[in-house]
Amino acid sequence: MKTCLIVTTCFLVLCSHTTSLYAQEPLRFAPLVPMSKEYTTLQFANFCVTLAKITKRDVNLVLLENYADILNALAENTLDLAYLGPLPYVIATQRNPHITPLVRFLDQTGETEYTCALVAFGSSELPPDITSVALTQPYSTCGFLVTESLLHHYDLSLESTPYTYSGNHEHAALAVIRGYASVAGVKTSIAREYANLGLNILLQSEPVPGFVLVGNSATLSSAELQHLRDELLKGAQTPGAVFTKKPEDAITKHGVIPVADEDYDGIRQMLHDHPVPELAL
Amino acid sequence: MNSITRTTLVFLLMLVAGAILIFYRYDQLSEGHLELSTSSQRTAIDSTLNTYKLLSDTIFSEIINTDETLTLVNSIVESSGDQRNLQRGLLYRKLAPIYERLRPTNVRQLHFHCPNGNSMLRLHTPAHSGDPLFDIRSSVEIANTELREVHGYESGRVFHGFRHVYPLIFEGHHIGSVEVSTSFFHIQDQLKQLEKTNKTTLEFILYKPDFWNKLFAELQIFYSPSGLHTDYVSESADQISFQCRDRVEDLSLVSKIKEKLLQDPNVQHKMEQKQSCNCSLMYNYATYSVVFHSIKNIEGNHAAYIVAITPEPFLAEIRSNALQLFSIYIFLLSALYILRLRFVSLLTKQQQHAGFLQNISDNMGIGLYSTNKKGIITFANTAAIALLGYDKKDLIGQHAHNLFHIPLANNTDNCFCDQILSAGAKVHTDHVVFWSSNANAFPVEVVCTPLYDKKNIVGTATVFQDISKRLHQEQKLMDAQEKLRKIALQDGLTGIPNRRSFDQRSQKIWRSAMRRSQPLGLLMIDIDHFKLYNDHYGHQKGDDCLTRIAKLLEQACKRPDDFVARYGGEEFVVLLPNTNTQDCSQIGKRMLAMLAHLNIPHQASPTKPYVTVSIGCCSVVPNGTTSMADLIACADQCLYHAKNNGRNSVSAPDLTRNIKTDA
Repeated sequence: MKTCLIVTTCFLVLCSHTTSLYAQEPLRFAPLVPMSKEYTTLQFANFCVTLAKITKRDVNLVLLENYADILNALAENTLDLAYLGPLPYVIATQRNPHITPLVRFLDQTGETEYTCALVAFGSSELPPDITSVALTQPYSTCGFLVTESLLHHYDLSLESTPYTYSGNHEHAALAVIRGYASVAGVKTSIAREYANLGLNILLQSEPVPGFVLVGNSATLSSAELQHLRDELLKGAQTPGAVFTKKPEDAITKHGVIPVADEDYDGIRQMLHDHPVPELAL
Repeated sequence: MNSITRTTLVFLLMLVAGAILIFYRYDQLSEGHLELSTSSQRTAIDSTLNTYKLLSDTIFSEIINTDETLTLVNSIVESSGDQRNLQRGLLYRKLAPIYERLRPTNVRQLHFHCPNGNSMLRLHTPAHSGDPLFDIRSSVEIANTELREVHGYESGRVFHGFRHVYPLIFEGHHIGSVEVSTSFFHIQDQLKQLEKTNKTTLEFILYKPDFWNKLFAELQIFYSPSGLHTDYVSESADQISFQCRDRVEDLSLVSKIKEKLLQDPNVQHKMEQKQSCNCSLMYNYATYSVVFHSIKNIEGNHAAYIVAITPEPFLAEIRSNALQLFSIYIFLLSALYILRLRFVSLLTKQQQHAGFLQNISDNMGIGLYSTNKKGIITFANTAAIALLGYDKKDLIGQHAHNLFHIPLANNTDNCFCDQILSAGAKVHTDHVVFWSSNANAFPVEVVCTPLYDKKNIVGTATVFQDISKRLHQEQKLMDAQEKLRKIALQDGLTGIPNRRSFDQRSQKIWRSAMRRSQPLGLLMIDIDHFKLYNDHYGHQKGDDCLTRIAKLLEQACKRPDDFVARYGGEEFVVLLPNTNTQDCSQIGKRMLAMLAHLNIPHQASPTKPYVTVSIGCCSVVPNGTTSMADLIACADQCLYHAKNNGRNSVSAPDLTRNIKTDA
């Protein structure tokens, strides 16, 4: 914990030095829920510098423990910017109408969308006895939301099938391989990574839009938001975290495209049809 | 080079020598301690590594090398495609729980390899498999080609660590290999548990050329410059905490110490040579030892360093002791230096003074020598050597008295030095004769004074000078004085005592006669018509006449105490002790007779054709009521009578008892 604080402090000092000319209040930006605060800080360092250059304001990286805290902060207007997956974006817009999509990020394959998959071990057929379903976490699009819709193809439902949250896609996949769960709902790309361990994709979802950068119009002016959107789109490679070769850097490395709230209507509809019990509003 | 310069140079030399000695000793102690520390750390590291080897052996024999596991591995090897993936998944399913339980025991990797060197299953990153390993992992190659166990440090695509690779044999067939490895951080944890005080900070820095190109590119961000050398990197704190556990170290201390080490050319040189080394340094008033333990890889090449930073109060203490010792040494040396300077200054002054005195003594022209209490000569100046005629070496150490002291007095055995030594008195005498080396005696004036050491006489100092010349001069002076005295009391013409002599002598004779109550007669004699004689014969003849008459008068006085003097002009007086008037008259008459017999011609005299005299004589017994003047007046009055009575006669009063009455 001490190390985390030191690294965070160093980063904040770095940011404050880099943008020391900016006299306005710093922007509060929440990235992904961090597996490791240091790692996340490292991942988003260059993107923060880019944001600061565009807005001419200092940027504070706000590292919150989970999506619930991020969404609460957005709802309470204590965040100016956030990096959200599709489901959290939809929830955020439902809770705070000031949440405005700015740009969508491409993944490492250059795709603007991704799919979720229902996976099983050792067979491309649905196991006859589904004892348990492994899910990532409640705010994951590939979690309860999409998995529930995928299971409907087999006339199954999570309402009648036991499920557990493993925490992330990797753990959900490994839970199936280790036999802790019969099937799991994970990102298709993750599922493919574990094919070498006998993980088979049973079914893939329709593509869902990728991660989105949102702004809070309650704390930022329309002009600022538009300026930010324009500048990010202007330099397609601008947010690139060139210093890192981590796959996760695809978040910022591979560029952005314009985004519209309507892009997420499918998710919004899915959430409406299959509300996540853990996210009961 | 003067004494002060010499002393300063010696001081500086001693200062440098002392500093070298003290700090050499400190260095030895320090190095000894560092070597001991290095040795004990190395032992602990080796012991810990051996512990993990034993653990790995146990894992291999109890978990891996079982029929069930080997069967699964074999089925992977013998299958392909989805079947192989399934078998791999089953192996993972079997071992993942065990691996989870092994993680707390600091087992970092459990990695199966195919016989061809491809990765079969990484329990730590199961998604990665199938990649070839022989080109980057010697241990895997050896285990699968030589079919023997390999133990040691090795880097890899994902992790680096201390690896234990075992070949897998199933039913007599080689089916691949498995490795159990531990990261440095686990070794570090174990070392910390071994060390109860736990004050050593350990860091593992990797030699970049050994592993950088093997590493998965996406993992390179987890390494950062070591801060010690450009060829070395450290795993970042993020990687450490992400993969292992949080380390709580004093990062600021470590980074500051690293900064110092980066500036240390010796450490940098050793690192470039890839050698183990150690050093000590100070930071924030504390002393630390830093030990670089070189870690060799499987091929025996340098691959990393374990850097151990340990607070060293002992080193600080010996350093402090060395500084204290050096301070004391400087203090004592400075005190010695100051004392020496003062001594040198005093010595210089003393030498100058001694030189001054030596110069004086050498040039003062009188002899000076000193003796000890036994009379042995300890010093002699140039004049003394010259006067005595000895070489200096023949004088020094000799007994002065035996060599050249000869007193003039009869008691020749006594030395004036003995008086000095016995009485402590100063002796000044000129009754001494010294003997020169050529047996010549010469009189000397000697001043001998005692020499004291505090209150004790330790010898004598004798100043002497040859007085033979002086004595000769004194004798000549005395002779001259006597001559002058005589001239002053003698009549220059006649050679008999003059009026002054008469005045002095008459008083003495008068007092003598008075003491003895004896009569004292006085003859007052005047040459008759002497003016006419001078006029007639000239003054030269006159002077001759006076001389002849003076001699005649002396001849006429037979007794030794009779006293004849020229009274003035042509007048003479004769004092006749113990002679009464009658006898005086007789003597006067004898004088007249002798003069007649002498017959000095005087053609101009109306009295006789020869020179005659008139004599007034008187005699008294001196007492308190009469005086010499009275006697002279009496005789003079009688002379007057004789002149009036025709000259060439003697006139005397009738009675001698009362001159005045007689007159």
